[in-house]
Amino acid sequence: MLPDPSDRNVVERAISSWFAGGGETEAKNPLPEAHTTSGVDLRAIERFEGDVRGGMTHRMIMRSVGKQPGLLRVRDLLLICYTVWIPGALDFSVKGVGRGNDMVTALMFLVTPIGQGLGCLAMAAVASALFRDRTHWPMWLLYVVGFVVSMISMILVKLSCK
Amino acid sequence: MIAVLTCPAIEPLFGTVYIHQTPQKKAAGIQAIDQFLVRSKKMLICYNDDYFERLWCCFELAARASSGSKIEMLPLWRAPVVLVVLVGFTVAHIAEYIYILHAGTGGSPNGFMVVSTSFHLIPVLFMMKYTVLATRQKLKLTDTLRTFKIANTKCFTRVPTPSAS
Repeated sequence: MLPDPSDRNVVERAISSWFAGGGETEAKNPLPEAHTTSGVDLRAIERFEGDVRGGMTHRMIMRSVGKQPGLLRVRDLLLICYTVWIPGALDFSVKGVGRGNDMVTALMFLVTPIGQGLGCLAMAAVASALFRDRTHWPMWLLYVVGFVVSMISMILVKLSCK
Repeated sequence: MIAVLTCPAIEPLFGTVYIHQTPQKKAAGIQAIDQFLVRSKKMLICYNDDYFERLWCCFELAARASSGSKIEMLPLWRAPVVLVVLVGFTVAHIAEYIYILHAGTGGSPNGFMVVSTSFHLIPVLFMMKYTVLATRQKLKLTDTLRTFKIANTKCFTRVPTPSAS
């Protein structure tokens, strides 16, 4: 793949045409405003940039990404945690260690998956706060912090299950 | 990709395929891009760190999102990570079963917890690594969007492969 200025011009004209009316499909052919020699409407390009920086495009992207820290969504964590655990926990509840041992059942059903899910989110929140302060942190420190945060989350979930 | 291959009702749209790459037809394809994008039910963004550096991608995304249509961001690492962690947890789960088979009814919950915790360590560490990556990527995404400028993007074209004459 090579950079291609001619292709760039084609795309810029397409952006210019699309955003000439503010990005709406119905208003695609307004009067030309500030064109360059290559036929690119500079104000439309500015509108495009503004839309990505803080307009509808920005909002739609952020809505899709979700409000949680990090790009790993809560439903991904649920998928990871509960796909394996639900059949296992039901199984343990009837024939687990000590046959129907409440502690093992609670551990399997609630403490481990919810604790790990919350631990993951808590770790993402801590990492997010750390990265906002400084971009480069040693990975071992993040592992230690993550492990401690995950453990605290699991213990809290376990205590709240009692 | 799995959804595309297994579900015949999905008609995927790939940029270099649906836009004819010869200069004359390329412009016509681009003029009709709104019809493709607006009529699609879903736009799946296979997101990577350099996504917003590619002008084509930015245009397609903005053309769809600026009209308020739904998009779905799919970081490229997400599916493999979910799969690996799932497999890791399944292995840990199997280890728990083996412990129970060995210990029988006399097994202690503490022993069970030791086995369970040990086997969960690798998938949990793996997940921690990608949690950090996901956090970093989201911060970068927010930052890239906030400072987005068309001048910082690149435009690429395919290099013709040498043909045997």
